[in-house]
Amino acid sequence: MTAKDRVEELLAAYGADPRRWPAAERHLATQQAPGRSAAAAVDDVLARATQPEVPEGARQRLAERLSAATGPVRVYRRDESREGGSWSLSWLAGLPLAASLALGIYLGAGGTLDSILPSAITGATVTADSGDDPGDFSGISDAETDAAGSLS
Amino acid sequence: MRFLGLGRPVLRDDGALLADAAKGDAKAYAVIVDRYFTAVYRFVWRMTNGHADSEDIAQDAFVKLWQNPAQVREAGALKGWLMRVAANAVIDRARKTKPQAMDDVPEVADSRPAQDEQWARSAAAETIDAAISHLPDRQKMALSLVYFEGMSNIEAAAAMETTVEAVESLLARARRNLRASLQEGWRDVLDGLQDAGT
Repeated sequence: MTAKDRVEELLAAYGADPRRWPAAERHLATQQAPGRSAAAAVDDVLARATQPEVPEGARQRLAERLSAATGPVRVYRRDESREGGSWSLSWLAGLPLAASLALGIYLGAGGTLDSILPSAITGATVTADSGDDPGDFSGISDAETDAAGSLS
Repeated sequence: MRFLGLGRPVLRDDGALLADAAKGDAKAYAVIVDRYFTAVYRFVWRMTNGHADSEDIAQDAFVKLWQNPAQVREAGALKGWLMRVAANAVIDRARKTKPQAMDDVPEVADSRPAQDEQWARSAAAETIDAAISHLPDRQKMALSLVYFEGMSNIEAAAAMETTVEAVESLLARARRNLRASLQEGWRDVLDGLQDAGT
């Protein structure tokens, strides 16, 4: 785009007064441009538009409305929202609840506690030392004798 | 606005004001209102062609800011943010309001400066205001922000959530449409202004 074309664009958008142009392009105002007089005519009209004034008492009415409205909402960052670092431990409060929930699911699914509770509670008798000789395999020959007898 | 020993006012930037307003500092908020209420009101007035609800709509933008100043992501764009909120409120109200018969049109807020102002000037101004009011919303918004409120093309583009090129295009079309709509009355408007001695 040539400088002349750009000046026409500036005139069409911002009008003939270069003070209304983007600061970086005001130096182009010295260029000859056929659209200048038409832009100036529109400026002349716009300058005669009503310049409304704020109605009397408007700020007071706004102040009254603000006083009735909810005040500023504090938007906290997460690290501001708790005091004394309690946020980092707050998950502990839910731990018992989570544990009891897991236990309930386990029992409800037919599980038992026998494997994790002491035998004194469950009633199971497990004798670790029965006094038998570990090298005595006589029980096997007895079983063979019984089996031979039943076949005959 | 703070006053130091020499009595010279120190202008606080919008960022500092917003930060204080967010902490509930009413004085900081009052400075924001002082700084921008007139511009927002004028903008709404022009977008609604001086509808009697202009003040309420302008207030809406400031109430919204008061309730949550943290909504403004870039403090430097506070004015544009207020304008955008106000423009959205104008559009929302226009959607909710059914077309009205002329007899039911609410009273227009009269912002003319003096009762005895010369008739020709008033008539010309009303003709021009009406022509502006009939522009498409986006064109009217661009013209109001840039021409009447003196915002830069970059600020206006941010407020309108569009590009600088789009703003320039809207401005050019607004001015072209304005000239076309006033084509028949163009000479009368200008002659009337000259007759009124302006």
